[in-house]
Amino acid sequence: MILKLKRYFFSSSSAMLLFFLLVITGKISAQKKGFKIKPPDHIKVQYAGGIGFISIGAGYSTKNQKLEGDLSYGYLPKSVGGIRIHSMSGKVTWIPIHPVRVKKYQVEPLMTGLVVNYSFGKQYFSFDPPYYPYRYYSFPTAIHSALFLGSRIGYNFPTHTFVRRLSLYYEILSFDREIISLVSNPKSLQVADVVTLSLGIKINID
Amino acid sequence: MMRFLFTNLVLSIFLLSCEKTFTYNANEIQIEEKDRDQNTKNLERLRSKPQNGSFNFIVISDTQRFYEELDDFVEKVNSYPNISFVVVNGDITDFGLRSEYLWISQRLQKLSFPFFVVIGNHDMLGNGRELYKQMYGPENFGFSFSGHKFIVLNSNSQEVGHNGSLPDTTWLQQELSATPSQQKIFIISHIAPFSGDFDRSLEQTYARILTNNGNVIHSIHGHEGISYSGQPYGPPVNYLVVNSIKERSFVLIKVDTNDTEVEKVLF
Repeated sequence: MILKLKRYFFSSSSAMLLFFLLVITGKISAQKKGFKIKPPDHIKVQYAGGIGFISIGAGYSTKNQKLEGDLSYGYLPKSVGGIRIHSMSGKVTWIPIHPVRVKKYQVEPLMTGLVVNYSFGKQYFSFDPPYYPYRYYSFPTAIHSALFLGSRIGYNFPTHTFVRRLSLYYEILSFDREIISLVSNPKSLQVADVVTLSLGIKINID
Repeated sequence: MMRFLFTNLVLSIFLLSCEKTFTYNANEIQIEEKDRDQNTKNLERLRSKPQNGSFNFIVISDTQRFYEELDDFVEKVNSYPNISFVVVNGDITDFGLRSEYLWISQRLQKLSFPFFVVIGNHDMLGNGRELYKQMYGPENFGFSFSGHKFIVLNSNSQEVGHNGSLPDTTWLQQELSATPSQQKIFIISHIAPFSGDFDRSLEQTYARILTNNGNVIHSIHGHEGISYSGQPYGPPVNYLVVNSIKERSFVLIKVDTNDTEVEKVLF
């Protein structure tokens, strides 16, 4: 019975996580007639970067374009990853430097942020399953986060088109548990051991 | 401003030349051919060695996140003459991740001797159990060397919620009865039967199987982060707990036809 409740808790906790990600990335704006979700202002399609072989997501940017948040679904086929993994990710990107504009092109030289990935599957846990002593493992195997930095180059379409801007980006990421490993083994592990790359397309829409 | 772009681009090009350019998910498990079935491959290496009575082997344990200690161990032990093989007694990873499995593998492959990896509880996290199977082979296996039998098994009961399936005592019993009676036996597994993380319902069964066999001389474990040697279930079986490599120590076991000598070496 307790085990069943726990299982229910785990599945509901993942649903809650998704909802939480939706709330922080989406602006659920209150209007007179009730709640209405504003459509996202951009879509991202990404290759690798720890959030799937291919991931597709959408999100919002702040008015000053300095901060953006995305929620994405990622798929990793067995033929690539050795095992099939469905996952959801939340990403927060900070763009500290103003874009450099040359004609219709624009370069965002630096973006940095945090990505949190949740893998679906009964072999992963967010909290220690009940058969472990209290706080036996202090890390969730279902959730992995990574810090990243990257750049973006975009092309601005003429106004009044659905696609406002199309950008190509890359990110250099490092996962939490790999950073911990590097920090405790500075002589044996190198930065090259703990970094990985992502490539993606960002589409700004109206 | 553009120097950020430049630095990042240089970093990316550097990354594209790395082995681990793209990671699709931290829980991924794709493994290259060179890293597959390493216990089986090492067994073939061991079989090509001369088997003439006395021999020495080394046991280390819980290499977890201690890459610097492991690097130093490999360097130290490669200078030793007359080592037949090295056993890594479980918890080779901290989080059961592919990246850790690969980092450990790269280091163990630098050993001048055949090596065998035992599955630990941390190695079973996430997709770890599947990674172990692919990279090292079956989690329960046995081999004979120079008139002695070595039986390796998964004893990480807690990872399966103490459901009675780990350790597989039926398999252990079969493996023991298939062993020729003139062979002395070493049993090797990560978690000791007297550990709190071992299945309580199997503790006495395990101890009884070993004691009643008569040929089992050592039951070798890790996991506890301490060193121990004793006979908690009475003679003739000696239970040995090998400390984590974090302590910068390993256990050297000298096997003679009549006797075994256990020596703890600090490095």
